[in-house]
Amino acid sequence: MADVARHPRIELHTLATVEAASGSVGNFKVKIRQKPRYVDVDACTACGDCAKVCPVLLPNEFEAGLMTKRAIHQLFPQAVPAAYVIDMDHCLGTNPIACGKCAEACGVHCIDYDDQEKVFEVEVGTIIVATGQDVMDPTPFEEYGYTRYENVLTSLEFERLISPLGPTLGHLIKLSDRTLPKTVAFIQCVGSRCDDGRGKPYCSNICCMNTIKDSLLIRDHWPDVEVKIFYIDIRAFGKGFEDMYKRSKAAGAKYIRGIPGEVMEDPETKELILHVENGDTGRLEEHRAEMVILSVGMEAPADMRKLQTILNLQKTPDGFYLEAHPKLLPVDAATKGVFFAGTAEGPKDVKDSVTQASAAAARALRLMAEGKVHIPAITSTIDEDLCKFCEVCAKACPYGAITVDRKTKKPAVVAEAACAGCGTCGAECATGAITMKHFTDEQIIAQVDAMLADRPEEKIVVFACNWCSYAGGDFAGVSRLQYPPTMRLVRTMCSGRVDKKFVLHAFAKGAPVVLVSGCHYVDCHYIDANRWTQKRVERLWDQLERKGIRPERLQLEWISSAEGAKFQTVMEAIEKIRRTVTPEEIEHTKKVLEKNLLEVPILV
Amino acid sequence: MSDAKTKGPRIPCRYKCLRCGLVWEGSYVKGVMEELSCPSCASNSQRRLKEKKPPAEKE
Repeated sequence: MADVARHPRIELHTLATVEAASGSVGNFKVKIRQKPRYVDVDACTACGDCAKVCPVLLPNEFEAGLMTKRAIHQLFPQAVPAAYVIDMDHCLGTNPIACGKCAEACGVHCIDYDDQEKVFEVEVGTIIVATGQDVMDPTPFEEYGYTRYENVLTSLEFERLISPLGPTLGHLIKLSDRTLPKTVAFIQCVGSRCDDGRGKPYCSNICCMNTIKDSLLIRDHWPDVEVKIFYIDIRAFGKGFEDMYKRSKAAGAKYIRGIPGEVMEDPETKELILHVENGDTGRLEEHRAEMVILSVGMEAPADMRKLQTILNLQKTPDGFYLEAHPKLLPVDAATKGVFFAGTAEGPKDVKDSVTQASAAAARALRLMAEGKVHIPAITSTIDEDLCKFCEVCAKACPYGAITVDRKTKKPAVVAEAACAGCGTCGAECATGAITMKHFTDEQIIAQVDAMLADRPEEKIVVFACNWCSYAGGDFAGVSRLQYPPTMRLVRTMCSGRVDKKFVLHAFAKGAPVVLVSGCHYVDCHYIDANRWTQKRVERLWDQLERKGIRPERLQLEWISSAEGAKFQTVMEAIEKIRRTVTPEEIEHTKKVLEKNLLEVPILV
Repeated sequence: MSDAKTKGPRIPCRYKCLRCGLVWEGSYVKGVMEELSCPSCASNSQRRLKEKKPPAEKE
């Protein structure tokens, strides 16, 4: 971190939050709000004279509340920049100056009570999102007595407790009587792998190894202290981790398969009593420990939502940011020019965070070094004469690549560097002002016409997205899975491109059934464009029903590229529906659509 | 989706599968799109049934 601070080409903006971002890859403009530090960073020598005279004591968050700090403090000993900061919410006051002792004590006169919040804009080519994570709160797990018993700590508190720079200078003590505990018990998966709503359903990745490391440390430094670890299963899957697990067991740490149902305290001795069903023996056991460490997991910070909106990012159901592709683009966001590092993308340890950060830096450098961006050929273009400034395209674009100004009647503009080519805007545009290069309305309609030119009543028109459903069909093919030969596939880059006029055109040409198919919700390759697909299909179902056309004839399916078997099953089911569609029904549909009773323009 | 918990309460509703015709009780969160599968045939083609209000009585 010190190297970062000294680097001539790295600008650090500490105490800062991103307020807004505009532009696209290579030309982002980021608005930053920086809180005042009230200390001149360049002049401060971090001597600490100011903190010695500050009369305000506060809990020290870095030390997990086990130590105090002053209102003027350094966040932690290695903080960059090496300068103090005033917590103005707790400072005795500067207007009028009620205390001022820090300013008097400062030998280099670096304290400035009049420092102001700054809002400024920076221009950047790429953005790396490294928002970190929060530690799960164990208080909902009342059975472990975290809020009742002094000697029940979280793994983070324990980490600070045994740190050489921590509150006890590395001495292991019980908080109740400041003596060395005879037995330390660790309870794993507190808050992780929890489906009852009190925690998170995912594995937090680091807790097992953190406990194993702590157990080795305890057995090495304090050989008389007994270590008991209560676990569901130990996940030691990294390089050298299994060896470390074995060393921990060899060092004497006892591993008990089972999570205690309850932790109680003996009020006289303050000893903690744990009741557990041992999964190996099948017996109910009682264990005693003088200190219990709750191995708490990681969770996404609460304020990730704001940055998600600002940068058009995608989140997983777990709350972490979703990468553009789990295997091929693991550090890229779906928004071009944005990359992820560390736990912003999911729980991970230091090594994985550093690996991912290096990869993100390399990905960003690759773009920056070249100085230009290769734009895919498949992007949207706007016919300004047809644009009615309705802003629907701008709302539909998952990448925020379209800008329209309704007030000044400025037609839509597509930032081609930001456009990913899903075509959702083109499908939503009611006036036909948007053309999707290589997937134009005319091209798709021509494909439908060709498919239905001969015996249309025997054909099923399938609109399949390039990345998942079409690939799922491919997979079914290479897997030699047989499906009805009545299918006719129209490939679009995204199911969001499937305009309702394509569906109605297929019906008007005599198609008995139409299937719209795309990626599963979280898998959409265009952030969330398939939500627009679903909205559109739902609207179409209503319209079809109003006009006496069975909505069942329009089907919607989410099929991934790995679901060849599902593709086969779906096609067989839809073939059964096709056989229920009578020639009279098809003729009626044609008549309805010829009369243009549906409020949709149809290309013929 | 992750938004579902933050956007409001789940509203009970009925869904109809457009493939097998099964009608079942479910719920949704206003303004949140969710991927649904029919409990019988696993199809993704579901319509949320709009409950018709009874006609107002004439005095």
